[in-house]
Amino acid sequence: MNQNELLRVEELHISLQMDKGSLPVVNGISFGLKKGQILALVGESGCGKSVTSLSLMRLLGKGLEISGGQILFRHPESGDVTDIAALGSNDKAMRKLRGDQIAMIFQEPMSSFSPLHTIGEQIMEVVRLHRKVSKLDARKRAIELLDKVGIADPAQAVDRYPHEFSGGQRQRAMIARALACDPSVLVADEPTTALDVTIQAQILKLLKDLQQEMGMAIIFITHDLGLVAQMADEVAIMYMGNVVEHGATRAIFKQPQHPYTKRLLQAIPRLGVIQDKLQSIEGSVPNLFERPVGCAFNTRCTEQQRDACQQRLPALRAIEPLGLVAQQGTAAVVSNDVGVVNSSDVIHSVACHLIHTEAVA
Amino acid sequence: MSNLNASSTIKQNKASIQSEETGQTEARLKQQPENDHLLEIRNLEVAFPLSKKGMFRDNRRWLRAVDNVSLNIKRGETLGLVGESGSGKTTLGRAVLRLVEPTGGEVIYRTGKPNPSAKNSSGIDDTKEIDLRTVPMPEMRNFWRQMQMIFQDPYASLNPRMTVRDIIAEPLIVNGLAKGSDLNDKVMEIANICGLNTAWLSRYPHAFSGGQRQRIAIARALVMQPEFIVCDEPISALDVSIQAQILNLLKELQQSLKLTYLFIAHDLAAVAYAADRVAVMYVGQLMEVAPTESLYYQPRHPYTEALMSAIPNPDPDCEMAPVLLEGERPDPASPPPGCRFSTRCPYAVDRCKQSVPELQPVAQDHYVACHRVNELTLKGALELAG
Ligand SMILES: Nc1ncnc2c1ncn2[C@@H]1O[C@H](COP(=O)(O)OP(=O)(O)OP(=O)(O)O)[C@@H](O)[C@H]1O
Ligand SMILES: Nc1ncnc2c1ncn2[C@@H]1O[C@H](COP(=O)(O)OP(=O)(O)OP(=O)(O)O)[C@@H](O)[C@H]1O
Ligand code: SF4
Ligand code: SF4
Ligand SMILES: [Mg+2]
Ligand SMILES: [Mg+2]
Repeated sequence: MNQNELLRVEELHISLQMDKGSLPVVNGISFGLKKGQILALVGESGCGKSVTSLSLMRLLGKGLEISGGQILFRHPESGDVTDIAALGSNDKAMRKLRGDQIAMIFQEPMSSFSPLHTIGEQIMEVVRLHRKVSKLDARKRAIELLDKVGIADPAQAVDRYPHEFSGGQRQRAMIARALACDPSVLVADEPTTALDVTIQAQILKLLKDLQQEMGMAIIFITHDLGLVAQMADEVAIMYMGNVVEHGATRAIFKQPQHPYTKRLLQAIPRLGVIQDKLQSIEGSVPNLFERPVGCAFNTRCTEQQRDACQQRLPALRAIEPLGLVAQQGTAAVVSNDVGVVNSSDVIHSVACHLIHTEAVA
Repeated sequence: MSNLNASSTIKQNKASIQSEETGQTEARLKQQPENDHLLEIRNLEVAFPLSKKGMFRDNRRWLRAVDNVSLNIKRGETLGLVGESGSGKTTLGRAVLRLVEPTGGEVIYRTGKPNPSAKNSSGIDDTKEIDLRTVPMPEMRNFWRQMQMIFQDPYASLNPRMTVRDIIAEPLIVNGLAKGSDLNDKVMEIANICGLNTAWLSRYPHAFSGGQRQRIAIARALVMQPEFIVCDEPISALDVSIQAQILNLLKELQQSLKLTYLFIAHDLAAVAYAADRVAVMYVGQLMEVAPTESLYYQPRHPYTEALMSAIPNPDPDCEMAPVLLEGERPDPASPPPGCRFSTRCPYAVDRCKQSVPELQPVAQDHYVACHRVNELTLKGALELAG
């Protein structure tokens, strides 16, 4: 684990336990997260984004288990490192971390609040779980949080029930609850997928402000490449439970190296570009039961494949720096108040047999 | 076009015969040559009754999901329909096909092939006009051959207990249009066109991926050889890599089969790619209708500007500068008086809260409903990205 990392996921395996054995869902992924950084996990439905993020909180659903690897978390104050993967999901240490140091915004805003309690009660509950404060102080904190996420008239809103909120307000309230204890890591699983673009824009601004003002690190999960380009400092592209490419956002968008990343970027409609036909990726993601042998993308990859593509899973390995063209006007260095992210520091890695030819013996 | 029942109101279409009693907006909309309009939606209204909590009957509140909408759909075009969730897009699409019953207005459907030689001279051709709202419900079936709908959710819209072959064949069987080997040929042909492997026709939908299921749904809609299809969020539930396949397929089919689409979607970049013209809806009403290029790059309505500014650009060097809308979104059951966007519009003035701006032409094919349309200089999608 690097000194400046808050979180390091190392060779994480998650599998689905079934009668006849187990099925890999997340297949040995690794990534690190620094203070004040936004890392996007990108990939198509079923590639393991939600499962990965739930495992960081040890909230995996029934039948899913961490079957290998580490999730190292460095406590920002004490500097102590805890391996979350080695804890029981109900251990005291885990309950202390969850919601306090690591908090999450879930994919479905509807199901994440109980319909029976007011929004305020549900935020207060999180506050009081981790902080020894009076009910009144917890309520004050809840109002303050609702105000922070831009809910109008927070003193009134605190007593409303989830169904009395619009979709966008509910999403803000969920962010407010996630922020209750000033987490150092926020996991945002498709935080805007259900929202309109105008409301999405507000939520994104809110997340960026929080990152910049509080130095919060965010794992941002999405399949929308436009959002990634706008939000993330670093990107990890996932396919069938593996990270196939990882790098600074500009490197991934300007000089993608993995065939899947390249095709994905070609497939999206772009404004201001005349496109007669979109370059689609033929076929579809195989289901978990039909995981291809070798590279998982080999059923759709149109590159001149090597024998190894059908035989071995390519490892994610660093490539030579590409000498990225500097962005016009501004430097390619992203800096902010917490001053941690420097995109030129980020190693660009790819998992493809074509790129790491020396591995083919 | 043989099965139209005589009891329906069928008018011979002569450009010269036009009803005089129609409203202002409509009169303006009609200035264009009419022959290329497959559909003319006039002052359409769809109101849903709300709770019956009140003691008296007239306490009953109505939600006007579609409120006085006039819109033309040209033969062979893709008309995009965008706007925020709950603005009435689906309801409008369904009301055109009478899958939900409109409570006011007209849906004029011009059937038959226009006669090109008549187009420039007297304006008389072979087409017939019919107000779909006057068609008795049992006869709507005849129209649903030509007008189909594709839904957002390819999982929910296919019967899990039918094979793919039966799903595609069902509309033909129900309408008694084909049987035996002819039926089989038709199903095979359409499956081929839609890129479905014909060896898989005896499988059930669960064995297919989302993109393949959407292809099945499209095949089912096309087997009737419709001329008009309402595509309601046809790609929203699909993976990014599959969306491109379906967008391409819809485009190819449109060209080869001369289809007309009403394309409802919230992905504005996809709409820009797919649509010839775009209509923007807000709380049940149209704010702006324009050719795609103008709408995206020279919007004239403040709500369109806000929408365009919020499109996340997949280029990290183009930083977004979204117009952030403050203020509450109106409750569709009790919209604000005046302009519906006035509670959030950054340019609102007093007059906006008093009278409803009418949809009026500002340029060729470009309609805007804003009191300040001539005073404002708005930014388009790319300018905002800087
Ligand atoms: N509780 C569960 N039981 C069984 N399988 C599961 C469970 N949760 C997820 N899976 C499976 O694990 C795989 C990864 O799912 P995950 O939810 O992480 O995907 P995702 O990348 O978040 O996709 P999406 O974009 O659709 O949210 C999928 O194949 C999914 O079907
Ligand atoms: N059957 C119904 N009964 C009562 N109200 C309805 C009904 N169908 C739709 N509505 C209401 O009408 C309004 C318009 O809904 P509609 O589904 O047309 O919106 P939409 O623009 O398609 O939204 P989305 O983008 O979320 O699909 C909403 O306020 C909705 O709640
Ligand atoms: S490893 Fe082989 S199959 Fe996989 S992406 Fe690279 S070239 Fe394609
Ligand atoms: S009429 Fe007024 S409130 Fe409505 S869009 Fe125009 S400027 Fe804004
Ligand atoms: Mg998910
Ligand atoms: Mg809809």
